[in-house]
Amino acid sequence: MNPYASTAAAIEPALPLENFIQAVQSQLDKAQTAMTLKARNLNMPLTFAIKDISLDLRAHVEFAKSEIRIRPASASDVEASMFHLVFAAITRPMIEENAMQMAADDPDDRNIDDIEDDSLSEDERRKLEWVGVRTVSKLREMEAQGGANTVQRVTGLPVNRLRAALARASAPLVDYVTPVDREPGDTSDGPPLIRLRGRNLMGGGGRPHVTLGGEAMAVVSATDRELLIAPMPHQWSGELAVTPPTGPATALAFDLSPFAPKPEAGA
Amino acid sequence: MTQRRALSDMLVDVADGVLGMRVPDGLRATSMEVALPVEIEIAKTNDGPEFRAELLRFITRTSFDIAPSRMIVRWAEGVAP
Repeated sequence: MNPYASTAAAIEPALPLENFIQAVQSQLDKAQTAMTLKARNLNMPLTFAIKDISLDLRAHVEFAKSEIRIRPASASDVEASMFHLVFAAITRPMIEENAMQMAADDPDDRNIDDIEDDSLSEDERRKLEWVGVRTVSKLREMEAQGGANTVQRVTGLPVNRLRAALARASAPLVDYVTPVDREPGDTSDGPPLIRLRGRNLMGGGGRPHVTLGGEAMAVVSATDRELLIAPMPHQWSGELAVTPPTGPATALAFDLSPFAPKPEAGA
Repeated sequence: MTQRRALSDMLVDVADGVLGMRVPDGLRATSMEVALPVEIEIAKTNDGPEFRAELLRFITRTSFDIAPSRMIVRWAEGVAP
């Protein structure tokens, strides 16, 4: 089968502009690599590299769901638009200078698209991306700096919807509860522990209050992503509530009773 | 049926063709610029959308042919890595 065979079924419909640009960019990278390899294999001291490429593209440009989509014109598209694109080769330092600081990003940060509720529509999330708000922490930072009104003016997104979305994204959530395994050879007589993993567990404040069926549990250590709890012998199952010093609480039911320490004989 | 290749294949072929030309001794091409009419399409592949561009196969255009787009590519000489 010819990999280059073109069939009507293989043609993509309109693509988001950024995907389209990536598809062109990927081809330019491949061409560049092929020419470099050729120079290397033939021991040529010099090679030719693409300096820039300019495309006058007959295409249909659509705007749907706050997204620019582009589709190359077909034979029957008489009145297609002319889309002018210029790609220029840049050096590695230029890439690093202009790219977002990926390494500095918090690996635990959540993308704005991951807010799985109805507080923000897809259209509204796209508008936030326009103004550079791609993560929940960026949304929080912008609200803290009083930028919500500016965002409203630029994107038309009401401040109260923005705050509602931020409140939901900042709510504590426990993903799972597991017993803490003791290290082999650990003979310390410290209490057995339970680990709670989640997010926003400190709600941006101090140590949260953890209860089981209304009874307080001892919190050994706390971070925004993890709590270590020292349960009493009867606190290995039930409904657990985590209440940060500020903001809403979260609750979940769990049962770790098989891991509860066995009562000593005669106790 | 017209078969179109990925843009990278077309670019490498065009560059090979131009750079392979015989030139008088003592002369060397240091840069080149070509302006080409091309037919383009975006094809679905397992690796995502692929940008395909191909030189026109026929001089005479019919109603069944895609109206050509235009591409200008500039290459410049550099030291091989």
